[in-house]
Amino acid sequence: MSHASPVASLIALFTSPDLIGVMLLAVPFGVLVGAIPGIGGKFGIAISIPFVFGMEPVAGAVFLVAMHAVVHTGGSLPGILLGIPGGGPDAAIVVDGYPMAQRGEAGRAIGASLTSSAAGGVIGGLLLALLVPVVWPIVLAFGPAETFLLALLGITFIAAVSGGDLLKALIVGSAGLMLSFVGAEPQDGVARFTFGQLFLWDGIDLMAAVPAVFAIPEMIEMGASMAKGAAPTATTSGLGFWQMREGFGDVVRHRWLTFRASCLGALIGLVPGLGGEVASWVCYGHAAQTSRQPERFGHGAVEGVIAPDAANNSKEGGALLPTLFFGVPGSSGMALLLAAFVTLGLQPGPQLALGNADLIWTLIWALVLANVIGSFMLAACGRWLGLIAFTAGNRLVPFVLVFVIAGCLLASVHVQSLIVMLVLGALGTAMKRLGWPRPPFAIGLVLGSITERSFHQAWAIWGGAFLLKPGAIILLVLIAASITFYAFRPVSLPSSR
Amino acid sequence: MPSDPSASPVRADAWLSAIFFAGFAAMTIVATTYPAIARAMPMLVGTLGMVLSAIQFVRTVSGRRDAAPREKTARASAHLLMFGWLIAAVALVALLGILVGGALFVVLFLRARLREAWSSAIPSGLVLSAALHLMLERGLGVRLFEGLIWQ
Repeated sequence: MSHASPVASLIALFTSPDLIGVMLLAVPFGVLVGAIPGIGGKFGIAISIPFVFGMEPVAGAVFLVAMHAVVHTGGSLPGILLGIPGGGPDAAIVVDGYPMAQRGEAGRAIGASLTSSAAGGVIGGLLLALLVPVVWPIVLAFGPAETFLLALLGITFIAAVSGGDLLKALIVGSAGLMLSFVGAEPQDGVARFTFGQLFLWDGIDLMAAVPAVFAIPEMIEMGASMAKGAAPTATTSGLGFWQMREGFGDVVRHRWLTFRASCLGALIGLVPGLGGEVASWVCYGHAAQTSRQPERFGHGAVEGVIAPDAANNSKEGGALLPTLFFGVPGSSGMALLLAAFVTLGLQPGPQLALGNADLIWTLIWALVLANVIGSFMLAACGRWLGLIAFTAGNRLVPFVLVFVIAGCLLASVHVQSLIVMLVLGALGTAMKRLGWPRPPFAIGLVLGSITERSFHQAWAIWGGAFLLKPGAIILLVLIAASITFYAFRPVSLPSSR
Repeated sequence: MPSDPSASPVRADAWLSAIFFAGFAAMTIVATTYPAIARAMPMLVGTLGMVLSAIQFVRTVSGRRDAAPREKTARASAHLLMFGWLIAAVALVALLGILVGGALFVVLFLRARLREAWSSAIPSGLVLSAALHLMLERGLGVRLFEGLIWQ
């Protein structure tokens, strides 16, 4: 077992110019992708993959976590200024944030949003840190049998990101699994589905596949719509530091609401499949229920901004736990983060937790620090950064497309991999247009090879008896519970397409 | 930008199910030629995929009809046009490399698709090349693809 010290990791992060520099790049990028309506965290991770490819694994992982941590900090901006949420989880902020902006309190709303986002992110990260000692003994008990069943459990979470259509999700997840089998078979080296093509021997590269399925369809949609960005309006006035100060004060006044919403958000983040929408709306409802004047909600109550914003950022801390320690992504964003980690040579799961405890702590502190940096950065440049919300998304299209192509060619020396990217891009575009969920594809592609490899290892060591190990029995019960829950749940959970 | 599944054209949805079915079927058939260990998982997943996509196909075909085909055809054309732009980007980068081909694509797209002025489009292309060169080649020491023409 690795005895990494959380304090040592924190000091190492603070004293590393490289890691701090990476975070200073990642945070504005995360704010940017969050603030432009229609773009979001999943897209941000997909197009970050080429960028982090050449980095050291730790620096790359810090970039991804820091970028993902602040997406919702930026996502509040268009919600408050335009009434258009940056992404699904930011929708709850619109309900009270936009009326505040309309009555000339945009600065106050953004100040409250930034402060509660920072507080939520910090509390979520600290809760994650507190849970590490609880999770550690479980991680230590993991061998190939448990890894296989854990991967299977992860595959059942395809249902969690099904966007309400389980059958389509299972088909897309199976397609991801099937493509994970392309290349040399791990046990005896047989080349599968390579059709004599050398470039397929290493399998379908995640750097080509993930941006193709997630970033290209967004760009095709954006380029096809030809929509111009919204014109800056009067709501951008009053965005200076002093106007935001009132919002900071609101969060201090409602500090217990901020704390409760943050804890609730982190706990919801821990549960696979509940997702950001649930966290923000549950906390919005909690704020309204516990308010002495619930009738103000929907008409510009600042608590209606504070609670969902705190929850949005804190849930990322909770969601990181199953992703990092067990390699089980509980949300569509985490599925992509998992895929991005794999491109860095890091395989989240028990092996990573045991062998790279320093990295785990570094990522937890990066999550905390990114939230603080993001909010300070926006508070300092709020007036100008507020204009991000008015950016015409389709102007980004050619830049992103070139970046995706560059990433594909960075991962593979073979130009033919561009054909794979085009085919998967077409498939992803069709899926997006027809409302098929795409995150299951990433889960299948990432977990397929782990499932197969660990199954063969477990079978070679214990034969069929591996299913009778105590850890395996617990995981089998969890798998059965997961399938039962998703098969018989009465209502669809929010979409994660 | 979430899609509206309720607006999915039935025929296109069925086509997608059929494409998935064909893909699973082809890979399952190919997998039968591999040794036992290598074929176990692909055959299991492939068979499952075939069954699921067949069910989805039947479910879609027996479902409701498309409500507003003309509007959707227009949207599909816009998507096809954009996919043409993507193919153009891939071709330019493959031939001229990331720095030259990428910059040229940005200039052409901004000028032809978004009707931006040359004075805005050309600097945008140059900025992209400079950013990629500085970030990836200088910053991270990554060698960028130089294009088939120059190789």
